[in-house]
Amino acid sequence: MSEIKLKKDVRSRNQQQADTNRRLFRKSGLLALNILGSPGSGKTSLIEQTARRLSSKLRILVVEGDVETERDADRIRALGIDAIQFQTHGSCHLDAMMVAQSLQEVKLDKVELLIIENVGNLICPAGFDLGEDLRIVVGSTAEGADKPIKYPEMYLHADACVLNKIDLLPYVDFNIEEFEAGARQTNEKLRLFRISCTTGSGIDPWCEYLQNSYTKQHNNMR
Amino acid sequence: MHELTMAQELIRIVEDEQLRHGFEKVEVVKIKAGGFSGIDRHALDFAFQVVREGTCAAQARLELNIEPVKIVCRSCGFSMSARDAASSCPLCKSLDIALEGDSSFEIVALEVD
Ligand SMILES: Nc1nc2c(ncn2[C@@H]2O[C@H](COP(=O)(O)OP(=O)(O)OP(=O)(O)O)[C@@H](O)[C@H]2O)c(=O)[nH]1
Ligand SMILES: [Mg+2]
Ligand SMILES: [Zn+2]
Repeated sequence: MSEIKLKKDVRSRNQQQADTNRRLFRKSGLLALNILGSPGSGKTSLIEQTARRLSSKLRILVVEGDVETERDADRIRALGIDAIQFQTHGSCHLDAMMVAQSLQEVKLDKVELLIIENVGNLICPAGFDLGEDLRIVVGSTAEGADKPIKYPEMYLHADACVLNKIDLLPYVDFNIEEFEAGARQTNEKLRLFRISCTTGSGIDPWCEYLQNSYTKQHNNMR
Repeated sequence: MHELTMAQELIRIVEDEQLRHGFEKVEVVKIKAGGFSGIDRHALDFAFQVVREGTCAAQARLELNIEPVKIVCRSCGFSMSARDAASSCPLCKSLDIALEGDSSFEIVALEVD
């Protein structure tokens, strides 16, 4: 018996494809978002609200990752926004290869904001870089304020955390300060937004953040 | 279930190394993971038992070394390994605590015959 010493990142294949995706996104000057969060936290609702506000300013393409069905893509198309549905058929997360595959036929130089909705899951998608510029975690007041400390992986490489359903605060036992402190335990630099997709509260600062990020990204490219 | 993806990648890497080194079979696969790797030990073992069938790792055992996450208090500097989720510093009760760890997941060695 002998021992072979190695230092091999088990995620390296995903990472290589993510780097390729990122280079492609850079070249076309678009801003790419990876939206993560538990099932029902409001990822699609957030994309709907964002698209409503920004579609007159930025050309948007949405990629919907779901285990099955076209439902989420149909919701986006109903707003007149282009959407691609990627069905993972059992996989609990999107990976960089799936994203590359869904974008195969797309002319990316016509896109300015690429929004990728990951599979609803608070654990698995965290370990897979898709090549995004911004990683956004969507939480909601209906899930309990302890989620960030129970699922810290999710927040580790995130750029922003959107707390959705703040319209429900009067009806649920949810401590916003505890939630936000928890999110910052793993990631001090996390940008925090409080919104309600139902009332539209807080959507404007969120959209401003995206527009500023797009402008920065686009200027960097030139 | 992302452990299944991970187990498949493990086998891919092991088979790559077999081409390079020409060993017959693998006895142990040694893995080092950060506390934020999001890997569940049992799910990984289970997935590995499924995907190792018919490969040079068919009899192999996983040796998984997960580095614990650390709790560091940003107020008093207290530091301890975090076995349970905490929302405040156990020493000074400050809410301003940091969780430290990384999300790495690496094969560090193979024991082969
Ligand atoms: N009260 C309230 N309900 C909301 C809000 N945002 C979304 N919802 C509701 O929450 C439910 C789930 O919303 P979705 O946008 O489908 O959630 P999702 O995260 O995309 O779900 P999956 O894709 O299945 O993981 C729907 O019934 C929405 O109407 C909000 O701000 N307030
Ligand atoms: Mg959805
Ligand atoms: Zn302290």
